[in-house]
Amino acid sequence: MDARLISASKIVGWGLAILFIFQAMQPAPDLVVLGPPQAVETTMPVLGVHTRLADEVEEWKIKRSLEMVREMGATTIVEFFPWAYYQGENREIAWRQPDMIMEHAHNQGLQVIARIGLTPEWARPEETTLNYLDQDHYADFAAFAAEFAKRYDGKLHAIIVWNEPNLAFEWGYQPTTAADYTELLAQTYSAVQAKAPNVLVLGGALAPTLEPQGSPWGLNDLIYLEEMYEAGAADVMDGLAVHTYGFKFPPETAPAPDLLNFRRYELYREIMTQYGDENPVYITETGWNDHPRWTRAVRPGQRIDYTVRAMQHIENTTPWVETAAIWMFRTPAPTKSYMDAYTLVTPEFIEKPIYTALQEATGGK
Amino acid sequence: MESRKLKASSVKWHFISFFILLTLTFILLTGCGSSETLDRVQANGVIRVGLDPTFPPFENGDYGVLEGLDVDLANVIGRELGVNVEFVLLGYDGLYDALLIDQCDILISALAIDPAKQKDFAYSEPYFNAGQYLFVHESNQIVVTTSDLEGTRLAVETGSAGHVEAIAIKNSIPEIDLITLPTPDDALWTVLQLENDAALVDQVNGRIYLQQQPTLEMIDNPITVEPYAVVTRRADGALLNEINDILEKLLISDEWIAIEEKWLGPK
Repeated sequence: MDARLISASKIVGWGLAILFIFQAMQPAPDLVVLGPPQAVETTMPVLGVHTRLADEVEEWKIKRSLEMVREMGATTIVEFFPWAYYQGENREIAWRQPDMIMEHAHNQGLQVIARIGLTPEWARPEETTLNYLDQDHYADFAAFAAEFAKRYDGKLHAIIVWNEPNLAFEWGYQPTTAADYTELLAQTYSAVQAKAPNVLVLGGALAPTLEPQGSPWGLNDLIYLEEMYEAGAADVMDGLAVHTYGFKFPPETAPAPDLLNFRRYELYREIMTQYGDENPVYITETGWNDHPRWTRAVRPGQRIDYTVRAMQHIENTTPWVETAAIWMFRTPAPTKSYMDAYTLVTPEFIEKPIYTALQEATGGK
Repeated sequence: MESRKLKASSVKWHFISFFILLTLTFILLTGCGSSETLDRVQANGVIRVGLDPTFPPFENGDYGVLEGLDVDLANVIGRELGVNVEFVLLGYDGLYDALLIDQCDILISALAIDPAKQKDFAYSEPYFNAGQYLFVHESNQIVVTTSDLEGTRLAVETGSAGHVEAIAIKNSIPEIDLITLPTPDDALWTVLQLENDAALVDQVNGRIYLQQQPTLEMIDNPITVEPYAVVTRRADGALLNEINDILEKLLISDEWIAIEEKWLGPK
């Protein structure tokens, strides 16, 4: 036989052997099972938490996160499902990741509120951000939301249409008009109603901000909300999603239009009532931060104390608030920024003392 | 014979080629070859240091003068490079973006090493550990390491990173009596009053407290590591190497001890 041929076959042989060894060294894929269906035990059913599972790759981490949410005594998760992750240019939807999250959440007895946002590349002009959605593609967004609602009907409680549209950043640096957002809300409401009438559609999720009219960064949430109602929002949503943060103030601090604090949701309620909207409020982001470098942060002990008091206040005195979800449960990896100081457990699933305090307050586990 | 020689020569060339390829890959991956920023800094005679001036004692501009441990460190780096230092004041959230878009040449702003950012950025050797340490009374003869905590009363700030770590320690040593208090100063105060045996507090808060209460001691054996480092763009390998050379000498010098003690007090 030709020496070169022998040499080549030796190389191939060695290559295959090395490949075999590397394959053998790979850990076996994790076998994650749903396990028996669970139910949340809690004395504080209003408690929810915003999870961050869409960027979580490993199924066991999704399962463990949701187990820990249940064990904390929270009844509800708010989870972000980015449209851009799931629907390609051929309009086919990759359901694997949302299926995994929804199945595990349902199995843990958790109610799911899905926040949908981020525009796929095919539905926006070049050199726009993921938050850019123009009127030509509102119907595409609505169709995706309706497909999502239909697929998870029975497991999905509500959909939040977009996120903080009163901020320029979150609205793709287009002018932040409440009329445009209300049109998106209306189209989504109709589409979801047609395909999954049991799934609620929540509007708003406005960012608490004092930005005045004409600011390039955004618009005061109270003004924006009034403009939404003026544009007819009351007829095209089943509830209002609200973001409200405590910043440096204790939870009992009275709300005021020129102050950003926890009880700002009461000002939202006043506007809702003024426009005859008796639908419930869903607080889908709230909490305090204890990062040492953030000027709006509190001490870690204050954060625990304020959070528990805030949840007890809502549970005991505010029947029109359906859910109060703490931002945020856990991130897949440390962000090494003030965002880490919002979480309840570490990326390694170590319970922070605030988690334990909430668990004690709910009688969870 | 000729064929064996040829074969040996071929193997040798394959080996050399492989070695060259490996070296080039290493250079490409580490960015060691790029000296563009270093050349520009030296040509202009100025290095632009980005920092967030709201984090005393590392950087603070509250009194109209920019000062702090990081400011002193930047000045030493400038001096050793033979250039002036120009401070670029930034918000904490905008530090990395500012470096990426060349608003500054490096960051020195009490930034902990973040492996997730190493695609775009590189970190120097750490110059400070902001992690958790044990603090004890000077009369303490018991606690030296965590294994000595069995049967002791350990004070922490409620909800802090020290608290989280203390819970983990208590999971392996259940006989620890964990005492939670509202602030790190409260935790240290109880040790000063001999109410508790030790406090688990981060080095910065602990050492600042020690400045007023020298009867407390920090056990110089970190329980957790939160390393602060100088940040460069990933491509600026030559500048990073220069900074690492400077730090290597500085961190074992009396000058560094003096800088640390000026802002944090003695260990």
